[in-house]
Amino acid sequence: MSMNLERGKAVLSGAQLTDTKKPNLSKILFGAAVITMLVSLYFIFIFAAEEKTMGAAQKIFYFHVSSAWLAFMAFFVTFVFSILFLIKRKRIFDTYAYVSAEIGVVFTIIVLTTGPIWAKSAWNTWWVWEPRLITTLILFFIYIAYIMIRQMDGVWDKKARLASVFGIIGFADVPIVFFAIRWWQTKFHPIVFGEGPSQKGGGIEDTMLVALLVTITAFTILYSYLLHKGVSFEKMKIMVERYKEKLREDLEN
Amino acid sequence: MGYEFMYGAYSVAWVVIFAYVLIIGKRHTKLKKEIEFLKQLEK
Repeated sequence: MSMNLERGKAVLSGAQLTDTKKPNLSKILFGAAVITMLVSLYFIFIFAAEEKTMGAAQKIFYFHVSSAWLAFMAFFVTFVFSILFLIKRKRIFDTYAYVSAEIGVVFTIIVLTTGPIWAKSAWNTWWVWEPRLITTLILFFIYIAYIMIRQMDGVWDKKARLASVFGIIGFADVPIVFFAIRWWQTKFHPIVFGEGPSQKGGGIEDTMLVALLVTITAFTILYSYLLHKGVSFEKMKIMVERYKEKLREDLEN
Repeated sequence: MGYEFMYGAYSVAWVVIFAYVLIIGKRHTKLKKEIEFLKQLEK
């Protein structure tokens, strides 16, 4: 395995460092994310019916579930690109895996902060050590560790290989988080769809379902924008690193 | 009923999202400055 997989690439010039590739896609995704977010807020606060027992606090559900959806999707993308990296050994796959994991961690933070606020309102406690909450916290720590591996000193391809293995194994926790309330007894975390050993999912009202789907769409577009932005930044960073290397070699010769 | 929880949760969510977008923006600005410096160095 070579120490630096990208070394054989063409020599860069300073003019090539400016990111001129597909600026429109970034703008389109940003515009779409803003518009769909505003639409989702309309659906959440105006269109969706208010739940009778929880009142306004139930509206936390839309952002909480959508953030969880985005985090799961981000970790799935990390999982897929980690496998691709280990097979093909192309740096771009590693870049996608890393950026996606970072986005996943950000949205897991939203899940882990909006969840306790919901819990305080519904269960009169901020935190309960029950399966769904524990497995989500573990998921958060797994991907924090993944990012810490990326921040370590050392050759990038060694870090990338280690992180890829971590990204693949870490993904095993995602289905566990999802099925936790369906596999194990829980008095607290509600099942909306499907059923578990201690409760049956009650489903949600039509307007609530529409609002949830619109919010999930908005979050998916936001994820696409953040991923695109993050990957283009990482690509530029790699180019700058290579250019610095070239300058250093020129100065030494 | 429950408005304080709803506002609290949405405020936290938006703060996290904006903070992340801000961090991305700062990273870009820093990299662009570095690129400008390298271009000057090449000249």
